[in-house]
Amino acid sequence: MEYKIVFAGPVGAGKTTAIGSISDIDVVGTEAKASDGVARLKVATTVAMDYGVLSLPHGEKVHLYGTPGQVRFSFMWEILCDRAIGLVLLFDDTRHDVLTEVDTYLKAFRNHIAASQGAVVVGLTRTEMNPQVDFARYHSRLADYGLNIPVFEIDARNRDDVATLLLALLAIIDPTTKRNKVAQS
Amino acid sequence: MQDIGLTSTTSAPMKMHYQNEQIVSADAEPKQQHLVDSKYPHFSPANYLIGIVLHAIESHKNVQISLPSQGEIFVWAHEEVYAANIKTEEFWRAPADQFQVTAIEENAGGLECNSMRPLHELLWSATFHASQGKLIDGCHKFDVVQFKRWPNLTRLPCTPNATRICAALVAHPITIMILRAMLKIDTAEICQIYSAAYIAGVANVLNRKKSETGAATNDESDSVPESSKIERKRGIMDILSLLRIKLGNQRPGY
Repeated sequence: MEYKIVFAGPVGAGKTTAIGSISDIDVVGTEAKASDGVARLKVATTVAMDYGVLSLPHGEKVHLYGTPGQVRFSFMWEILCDRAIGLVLLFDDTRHDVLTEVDTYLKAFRNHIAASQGAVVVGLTRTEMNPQVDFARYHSRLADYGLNIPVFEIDARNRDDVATLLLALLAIIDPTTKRNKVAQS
Repeated sequence: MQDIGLTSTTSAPMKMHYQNEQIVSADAEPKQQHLVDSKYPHFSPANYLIGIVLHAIESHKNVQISLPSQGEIFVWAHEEVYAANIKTEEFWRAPADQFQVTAIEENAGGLECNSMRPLHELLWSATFHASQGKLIDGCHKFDVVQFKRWPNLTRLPCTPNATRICAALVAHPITIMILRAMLKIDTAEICQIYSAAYIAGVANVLNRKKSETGAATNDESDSVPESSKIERKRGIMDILSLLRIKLGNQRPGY
């Protein structure tokens, strides 16, 4: 079987970089020259999706999809999430409206989050600009949605950071971490 | 700077790794390998760096904690931040009486803000390294524990199964012993994470009666999924296992 993990988040949060740092292949991207407000943030931006792969022994693969960050492409978000085992949300911690962005993405992916029983993790990027991250505001906002999920600082360029975030996602998905599965293990 | 000074007695630091429920020294003679027995011994924070840090916090003092040629830590108790310049792993496990503790004067220059980290991260790190698989005083293997939130594991020392331990303890209250059975991992690893989380304020210890714990276990045995669900879960678990190995094997600090 083949599995899929989706990376989502606003423009400039580091989705393409994060997939690139963990993927076993060069990221297959669909970047185009940025226009409108995005041009102020970056030269090029993802307009369809990014694609990477984690290859496992015995030929199995975990496909990594990055969604376009612009809200006008939000119709693709749910499509890309179809049958995904988990969702990685990335946010730029330096953005003044980051909690609004958190709201936007939690609402946009609420169906997937509910269907996957909360298989979602949050990575905060650009925290090197302010190492004293106010985690409480993120945990508080997530609690408003009934979520108590990992919120980690990550450097999207750092494979270890992205790997740890994915390990946390796997741990949430892992049936053995649910107490009512003791009898089956 | 003013010398504060602390005394303690403990064993010298050693490199450790997990092996069949016990932590053994990589350098020790075979006869002396078993440092942790099946009774899950405790350690006192007073014997390690963590005791000095806790004392500084309780007394609201800003201090510099140094270990000659091994590093130093600056603790600003009021601001609840710290900065570290640590050169060796041994720093964390050194006996408390080897550290030199001096007060940071009011007008002394500090490190750059960008090098400061939240103080609870220091509490986690110092306890994690001092634990070496033991429980910190005040914790018990039959404690019913639940984590309030996920710790920031990308910036904290952790064990190979730290994410699984956190996932289980965030999801529901549970004892170390049941957690060990669920995850099939060394008790020492759980003790190390639990001790660090306890001191860092991440863990809630819930006092529950034995009968309540038993009831939860009985509920578990009643929930048998359909065969198709089991098959699908086995498939996912196989992939999770392979992924965990692939991702975890390349994570430093484990």
